[in-house]
Amino acid sequence: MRGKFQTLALLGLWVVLVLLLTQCAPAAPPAPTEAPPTAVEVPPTPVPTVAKENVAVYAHVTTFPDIDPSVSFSNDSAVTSNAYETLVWYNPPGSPEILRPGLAERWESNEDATGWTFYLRQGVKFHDGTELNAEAVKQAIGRTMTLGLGASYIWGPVEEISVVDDYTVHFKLKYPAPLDLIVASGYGAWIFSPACAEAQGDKASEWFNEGHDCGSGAYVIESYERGQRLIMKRFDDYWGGWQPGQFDRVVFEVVEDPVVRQQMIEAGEADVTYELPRENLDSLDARPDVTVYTNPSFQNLVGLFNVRKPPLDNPKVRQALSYSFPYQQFIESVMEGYAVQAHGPVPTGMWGYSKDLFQYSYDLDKARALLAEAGYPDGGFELLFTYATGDMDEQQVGELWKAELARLNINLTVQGMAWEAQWDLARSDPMKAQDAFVMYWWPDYVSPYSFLFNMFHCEEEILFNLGYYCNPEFDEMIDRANELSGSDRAEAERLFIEAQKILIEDAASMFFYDVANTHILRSDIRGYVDNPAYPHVVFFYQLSR
Amino acid sequence: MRRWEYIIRRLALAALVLVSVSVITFTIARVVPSDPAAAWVGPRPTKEQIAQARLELGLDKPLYIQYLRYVDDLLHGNLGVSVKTHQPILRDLKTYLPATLELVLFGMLMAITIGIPLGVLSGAKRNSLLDHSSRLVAIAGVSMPTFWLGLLLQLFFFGKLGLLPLGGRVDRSISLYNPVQRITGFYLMDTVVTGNWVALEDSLVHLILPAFTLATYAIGLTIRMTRSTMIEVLQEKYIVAARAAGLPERTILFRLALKNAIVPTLTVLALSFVYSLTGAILVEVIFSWPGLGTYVTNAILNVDFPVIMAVTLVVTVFYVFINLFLDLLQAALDPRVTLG
Repeated sequence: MRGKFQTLALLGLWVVLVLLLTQCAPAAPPAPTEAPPTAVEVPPTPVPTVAKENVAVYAHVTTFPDIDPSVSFSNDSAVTSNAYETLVWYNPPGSPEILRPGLAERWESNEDATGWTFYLRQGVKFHDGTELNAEAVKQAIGRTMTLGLGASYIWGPVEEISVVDDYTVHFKLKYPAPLDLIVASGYGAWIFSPACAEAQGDKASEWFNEGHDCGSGAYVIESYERGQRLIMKRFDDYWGGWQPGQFDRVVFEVVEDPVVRQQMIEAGEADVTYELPRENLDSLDARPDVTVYTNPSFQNLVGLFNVRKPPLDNPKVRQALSYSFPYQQFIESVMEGYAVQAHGPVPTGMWGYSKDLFQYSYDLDKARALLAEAGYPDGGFELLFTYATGDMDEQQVGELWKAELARLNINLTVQGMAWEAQWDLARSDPMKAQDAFVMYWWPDYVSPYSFLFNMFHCEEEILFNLGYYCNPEFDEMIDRANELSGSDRAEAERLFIEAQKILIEDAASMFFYDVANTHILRSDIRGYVDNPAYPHVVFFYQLSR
Repeated sequence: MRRWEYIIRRLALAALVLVSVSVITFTIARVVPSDPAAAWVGPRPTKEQIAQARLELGLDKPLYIQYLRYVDDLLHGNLGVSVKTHQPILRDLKTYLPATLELVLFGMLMAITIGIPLGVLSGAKRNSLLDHSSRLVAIAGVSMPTFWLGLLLQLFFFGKLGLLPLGGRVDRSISLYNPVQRITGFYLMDTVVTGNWVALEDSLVHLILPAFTLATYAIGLTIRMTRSTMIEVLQEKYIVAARAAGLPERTILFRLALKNAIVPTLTVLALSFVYSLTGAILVEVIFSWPGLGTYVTNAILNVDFPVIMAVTLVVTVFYVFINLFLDLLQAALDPRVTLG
């Protein structure tokens, strides 16, 4: 009997422990603006006096792989965009101008866009207390170029950076390039205090990734618990000044599970999040305390056709396949309307996009007729479709397309692969590789050239032209357009659109859809506008509550 | 064989196991289609960047040279650098391993303190109401998917009652106003050492749901194992003799019977502990717990081989030492077991 009592006592101990702890636990998620403890209560450890703080919480989908401003080339831009600034910013679609001043108040180029001068804003301080000047710009970009990692290749056209005076910096280019767009990139173009990076020597990258920064942005990284939470506080000396209602601190919570993110936003535990289950967005938007913001992103889903391998070396067959996918049905039923059918490779809302470009529609009769013209009246061939394992949308594109192609007597094998393996297969012998390579594309700096050059320009050694398309006329057109991007953007845009007509006519790829950006915010947050040039970045300085 | 001889022999075997594991993981890393140089550069590597990275990472050298360099680094305590984050893996492990160890150890503590007593009583009082109930608990614990249980517990204790937090190691109010000063990475320990009682309390509160979710399987297993071995042991003659001698029931159950019945339970608990180091991924994702499971899963998804290799080695070390410890413990608990 005593043994039984001992056991029960142990169990009881657990229950008591749990109850005690739950009593100690905050009854509800503690709002950061809660009043400090009253004088009657004596906290067990000294709790600092908490002024009414305005704290924003971003429930972020992923961890931040690398927050070194020279290397960051991933979702970590959610953090870097608040700690650092660029010389120029790209504006959200619909703005009167594509670009707006950042750390540079104005800029100009020579006639052929091979020389660019940026006039810097005066009185800007970095978080380490040093001042922004032309030398800092030169050295910050110099470090990024020297490290040669991440998006450092965007500086490829730069031959020399020279300091004209304290607040004027000049870039001499090897060939004409749109440097105003390049300096506005969300990756590899951050300006930071070279002094603090230098002070860390070889350990600078580790130092940054321990949760430090030395940018000039509105927020400073205060603490970083890897894989869990990053806290930023406002930079009191920010050159833009501060207004009432702006946030004092910003907390980035890493929450990988979408269901948990949804619970957080519903409970007011988080103020901003993204990538929630699409089927729940309508009901979330119906809530008075939550707002769902949706707009086109600069990311699209393409299916690059292997144009070297029969039968897809025949444009008629590729055109036939382009007529065989039920675009609208997929967007409405699978994507729940959170996508739009693409007009060619340049996504909706980006410069170089044209809604007048031809769109293939779902028409199996046309597909059959084209197949007959190409010498395949009864179909009768096999194709391999590869996609990155784990991406449910890509997988469903494949499965739906497989069903449609079966009606044309074409057997599509839908093969999910780790990205590395998918890429490896595509970079091997094109005659033994996949027939359709499905992937997303997004720009490093916002230019149609990113889409058209990387995926469709002739390549001797295969890198991202994974459909092996090669058309000298097309290449000449986009290269010329890229040269003009800095000096005559209207003409460049015309040429980019003309070039896309060639791709669409040649059916070099399936242009499935442009992905929608969906962000979910608490309704009391004011001032939010998504800028697809900086994916899933929330510029907290622009927000208030 | 003497105990020390046995330990030395086992350690030598452990070294062999570690070398084998390092060779196997290194070979797999080179055979599986992937380009570490491209991964090192970033998502959009250029040809020039890849060529440069290949030189910097020594990937242009013959495989055996690469392996020897890898082993040399390991012997100098350098587990390598992640190709995805460019950060030293050792530093990452100092963050993620203590988080997982704390969670798993707390879960194991729950399993032991709930599972063993229930198993003993269940075995001692066969077919009683307690036995039926604990068997039901055991079956539920073993068969319930952790991701589902975790979400249910969140919905109930956070969503409905507002009693327990949704996830994370500490509340953000702690990070903002009473941050945990990292010493060992075990928050319970660090908060005690630094006297940060508010954070200690909060860390404990944050451990309850994920540790319980993780422990349900081990609780079920412990109840089942302890019950069946207890039933067996309680039929032994020495127990009958003890009963006839009028020894108290507590002494019979917990001193005489449990000592002989506990060994298989400890074995499965220890193996379940090591498995949980990387197997707790679902619990870690649901409860936003920055642990080893999440870390290695992200590495696998990104084909980040240096991380995968390092974590495999670390987990192997745990397996080897836990097994050695168990063998020694068995010999200590059960005189019939001899080392050799």
